[in-house]
Amino acid sequence: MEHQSKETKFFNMTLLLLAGGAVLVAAWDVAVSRFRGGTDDLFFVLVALLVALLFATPPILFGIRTGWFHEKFVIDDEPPATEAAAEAHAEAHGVEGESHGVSNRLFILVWIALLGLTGLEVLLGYVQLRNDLMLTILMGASIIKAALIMAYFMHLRFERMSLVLTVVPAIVVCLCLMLILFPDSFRLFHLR
Amino acid sequence: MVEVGAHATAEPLVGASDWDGGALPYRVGHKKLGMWLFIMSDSLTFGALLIAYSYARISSVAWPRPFPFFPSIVFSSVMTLCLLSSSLTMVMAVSAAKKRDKKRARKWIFATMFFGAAFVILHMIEWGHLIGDGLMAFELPEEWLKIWPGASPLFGATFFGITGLHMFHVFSGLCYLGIIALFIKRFDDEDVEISGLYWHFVDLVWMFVFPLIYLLSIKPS
Amino acid sequence: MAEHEVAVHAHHPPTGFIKKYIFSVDHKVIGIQYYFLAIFSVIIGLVMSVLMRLQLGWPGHQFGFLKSIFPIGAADGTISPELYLSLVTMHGTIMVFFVLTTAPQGGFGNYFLPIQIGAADMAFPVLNMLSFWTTFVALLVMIGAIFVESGVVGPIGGWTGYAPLSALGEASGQKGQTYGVVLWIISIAIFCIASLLGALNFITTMLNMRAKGMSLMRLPLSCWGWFTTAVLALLSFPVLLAGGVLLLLDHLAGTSFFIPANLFVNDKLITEHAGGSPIMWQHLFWFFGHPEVYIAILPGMGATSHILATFARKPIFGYRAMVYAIFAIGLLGFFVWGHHMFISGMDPRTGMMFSLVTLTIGVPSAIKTFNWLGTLWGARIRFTTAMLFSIGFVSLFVSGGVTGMFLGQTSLDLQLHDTYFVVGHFHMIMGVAAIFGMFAGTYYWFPKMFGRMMGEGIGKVHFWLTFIGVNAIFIPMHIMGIAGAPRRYAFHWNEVTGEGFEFLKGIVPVTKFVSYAAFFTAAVQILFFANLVWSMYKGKKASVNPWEATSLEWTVPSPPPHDNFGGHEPVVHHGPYEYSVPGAKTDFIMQTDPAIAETGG
Ligand code: HEM
Ligand SMILES: [Cu+2]
Repeated sequence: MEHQSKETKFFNMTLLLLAGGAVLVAAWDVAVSRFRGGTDDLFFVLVALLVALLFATPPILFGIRTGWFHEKFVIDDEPPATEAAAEAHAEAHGVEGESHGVSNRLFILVWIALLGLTGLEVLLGYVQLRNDLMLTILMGASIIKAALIMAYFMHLRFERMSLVLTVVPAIVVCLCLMLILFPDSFRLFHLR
Repeated sequence: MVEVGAHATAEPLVGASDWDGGALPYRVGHKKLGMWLFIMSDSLTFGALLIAYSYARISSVAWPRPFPFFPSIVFSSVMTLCLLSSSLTMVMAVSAAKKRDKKRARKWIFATMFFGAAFVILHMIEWGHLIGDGLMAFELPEEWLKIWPGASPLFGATFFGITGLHMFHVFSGLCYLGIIALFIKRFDDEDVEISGLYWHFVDLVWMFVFPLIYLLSIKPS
Repeated sequence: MAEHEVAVHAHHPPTGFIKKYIFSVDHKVIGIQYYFLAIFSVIIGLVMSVLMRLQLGWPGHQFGFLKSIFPIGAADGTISPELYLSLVTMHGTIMVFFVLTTAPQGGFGNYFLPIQIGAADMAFPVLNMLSFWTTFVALLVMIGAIFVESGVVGPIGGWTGYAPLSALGEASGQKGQTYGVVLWIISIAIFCIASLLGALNFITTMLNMRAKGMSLMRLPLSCWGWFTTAVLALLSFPVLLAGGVLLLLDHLAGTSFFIPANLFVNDKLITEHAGGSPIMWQHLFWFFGHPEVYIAILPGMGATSHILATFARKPIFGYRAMVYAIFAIGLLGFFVWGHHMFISGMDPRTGMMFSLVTLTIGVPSAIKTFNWLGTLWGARIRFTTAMLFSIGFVSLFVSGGVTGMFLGQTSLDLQLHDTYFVVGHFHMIMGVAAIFGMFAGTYYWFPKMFGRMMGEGIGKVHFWLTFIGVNAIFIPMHIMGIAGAPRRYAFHWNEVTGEGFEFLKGIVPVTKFVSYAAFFTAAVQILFFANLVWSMYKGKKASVNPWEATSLEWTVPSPPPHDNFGGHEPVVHHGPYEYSVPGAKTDFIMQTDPAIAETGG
């Protein structure tokens, strides 16, 4: 048993490393070419990311199956005794406790983070970066913001993992699929 | 394979997992699940619109960048601030409702509606300015064409189309929240939470509209 | 975390006529409403197709009665090209949206999904009613599009509404493209909203409201068909909605999302529009369009699996494989929309990707087909009408699917795109396989829905005549396509005036044959309608379980009472297809039968 789990761990780590490598390759291409090659680069990056996804799937599934994600990222329905005590303490001091074992302070922190990210975005606009860099950073920041909103404001983090796995991949897959439109638009531009 | 024990009458296969029937597999009620599904669907509507915008922009020879940092961007940043704050107040409303404190919940919802209404009004003012400059859904103002020769008229179309649909969502959200707040006695905490889901979703969409439409079109100084 | 309880619906049967039959929130009534909406639409669509075949078979000939129906569109007794194109458009639109999307899903799905999973109603009964009435409004608006313009029966751009023609309006100088197309777009947009509301209702119901013991692997395959369909609808209709909004803006607000610069139309240079791309419309449309074709057929697949197992008196072959194959088809269905656009001018490299994935769909489709055959293998089949139609479904699915494999290859599609080969392909699979699924469902579930049996003898006659008829119509179409006959042309070779394509002179007899076959098949459907109406009032009274089937709908009276299970909650002990189980007393074990040990799932 022990032996087997070691093997699985090794296998998963290798796959994760490979996935990381693929992401690095994609990042490298973006950094070097900055999409000067048009659709070719876009394709290269997309393929590299797909490969990364492929490599990362078994470890992720493994993580889900063994409840690793659940432990790491999901606060349990019933908080352990010590946390409950902490919450009671907080409540006594006038900070609102939440039925999920999360205080409103957390939400305020999230709100501040969102404001901070927005501020950063606006600042970038003020500095006026190059367009492609700007786009990358802005979309990155926006995805983080969206994740924060979904996870905390929309309580997804406190729901069951199965709900997250139902909602998020469907949206992500469909939206990513629509990216296939872009080779066309680049081509149209080159034809103009 | 099917096996039949001729002798035994077994207990039904109940409670093995929440997925085996007779339970809520996500531990989420119908209404909340329904709202999540609606949000999935609606996010694809906005996704398609934003993709269409990007498609048009990439394939155009020139695209106007008409928003000066001051006042346009600062103005729209304030709008963003309004929406973000409204999300925070909505969270407060939900947690008050969870504690069965309907009075507080209603107050927080009114605060949310205040910020939401502020967003809509600021947005209207901005639209008014742009229309005053001569921007229409189907054409660009004369001066813009002088600065960006050959710029695509799709700027106005995408701008009014996307922000218009978003504003429509905010407006519907205001009505929705209004109903919840006015008749809060008849709704339970889950209803408040669900209206919150919708409201946060509208906020989330703006997190993509704002950078893509405004920040990427800042006027070069 | 607060425990959520399963919402308990207090069901009191409504009294007044309006509450009971018109604005009813009972899923059974709504299902029947959807069904009749589809029947109404199918009759309109059928009449239109007969008119089209009349024109195609005898172009240039004058028919007096056409003059009296269409005094402008057929002023000299022959159908004008505009009228023909508008007939094509409305036939396609009505059939795809209001027949193939409503009856299998909204009709049978609404009626039987809750019963088969052991629920008292849908998760959102009022929303369910709203979806139906929204669909109804969409149909009204679509019918409005038939009448707003003289000389045509609606827009002329085809059911795909390709831009820029659909976006141009008055400037295109074509009949049907001003008010007609506006109403068409509005109707489609309303339909989108109705469908996605319906879809989220279906998904919630199936996930949240299963009875005790109804684990996922004990669901009848029909439920899986409806569920996957709902997922597809939920994720694809919003994209069409977005596209529709943009198209409407192009039309009404003068924007040019889908209209390129320097368009020369109707002897005029269009100067008001610039910067758009018609290909973007095709992308948005087909992102929805390909999932839509699966929306049409997946319920049929589910019903067929269900019925095949019932009358083969055998468990379905490879239940799990069937479920996974349905999912795989649904998932892959999102990745392949580009195969409709191979020669649209999109990036050829994406074409390769789309081609690859398209051919991959063949794998799960083949899994399903072989499992159906495996179910039939060595079975003592009971050849009821429903069974015949299900076997017909399998046959037609194979003949239509194989031609799909041809079309999925970029190099072959170069030749075959927009020919009658495509028309043959999609009519085989969508036009008749999906309709056969509906026929099978009707003959199978009619006893439960109306409490009376449908006429079996007349049903079998109906099956054989229809089966022969549709093959006679659509197999020659493939040949015409290979010969090069383009689709959406009002005629290929006009014998009277000597106009048209010289090289297509040779297929004129085939065209005439197809037309005769079409008239014959259309006429045969009168048998079905007659059977339907007659059986509703005069049919033999149906028992609770006339087919000796196992699933939950056969445990309740025919028709079921207002809250399906009379207030008590069924408990499920078995998988859905336990037929001819060795050691059991009867050759079928009801899913709710507690007397025999727990099995399956
Ligand atoms: C077995 C898998 C299938 C494959 C590989 C396939 C492939 C294709 C391809 C490549 C085309 C485009 C032809 C062209 O326009 O040049 C096409 C058209 C079409 N297919 Fe399929 N198909 C399959 C199954 C289905 C199913 C199950 C349905 C419906 C229930 C369907 C309905 C249609 C329709 C309606 C069109 C024509 C749309 C139009 O242009 O008006 N197909 N198919
Ligand atoms: Cu397709």
